[in-house]
Amino acid sequence: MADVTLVIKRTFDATPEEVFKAWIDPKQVAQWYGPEGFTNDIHEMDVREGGSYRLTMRVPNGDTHPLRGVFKTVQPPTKLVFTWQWQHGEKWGAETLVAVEFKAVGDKTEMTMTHEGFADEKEKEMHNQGWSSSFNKLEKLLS
Amino acid sequence: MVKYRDGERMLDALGLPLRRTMVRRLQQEGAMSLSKLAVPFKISLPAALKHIRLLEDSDIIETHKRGRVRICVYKPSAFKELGGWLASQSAFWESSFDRLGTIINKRKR
Repeated sequence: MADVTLVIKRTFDATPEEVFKAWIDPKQVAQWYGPEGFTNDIHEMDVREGGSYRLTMRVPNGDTHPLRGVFKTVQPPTKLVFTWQWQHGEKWGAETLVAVEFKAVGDKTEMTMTHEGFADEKEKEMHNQGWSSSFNKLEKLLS
Repeated sequence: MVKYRDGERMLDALGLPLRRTMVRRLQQEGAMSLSKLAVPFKISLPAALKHIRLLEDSDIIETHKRGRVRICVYKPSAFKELGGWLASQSAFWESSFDRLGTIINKRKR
């Protein structure tokens, strides 16, 4: 079946801390989410695992596109994972998953963003990982 | 956004691993009856039909009745929409990251 995953790598002339912050600081997100000419109203940005964000993207032609999601992993300055869901009229679209990793390379930061079409399977995986690490702990405790 | 809607509807329909497995079987093994398709999942026919309806509504498969048997067929054109979704997301992020680069540079100066 079609692999519905998008991977984009970029290198920025900044530290991982700075690039990470640009993803979670509402003032900065408002400035860069979306193509040139787009603006964003950030309604909520509760950056902690399980916390939500809500924003409205304003397109130059006047249309607005509400977007929302939940933070799944918040590990400054190396990893950020959150769900991504557009609103279409009254309905919410498919929930997808965005994962961003930040790696220092010299005095720059290599950022890898993965936008995965199926949020559920990743969640299941994370769930499984959660269990396996619990089991590892249990194993240590028992040995 | 609005024009990516069909792609997102497909993502929704494919959001459940069970439905993805159903589609993969139809892709690889060709058309088959609903009851044959449902066998590996140990689910009832009405439950299987519900999943099939969702896939049919998002244009990934089509079904037709032959007597009392419902035949499910994968549509080869289905994933073009998803290609469109990917392309639109790619354009969205690439241009966003251009702007991100600009504001990071501004802050540094």
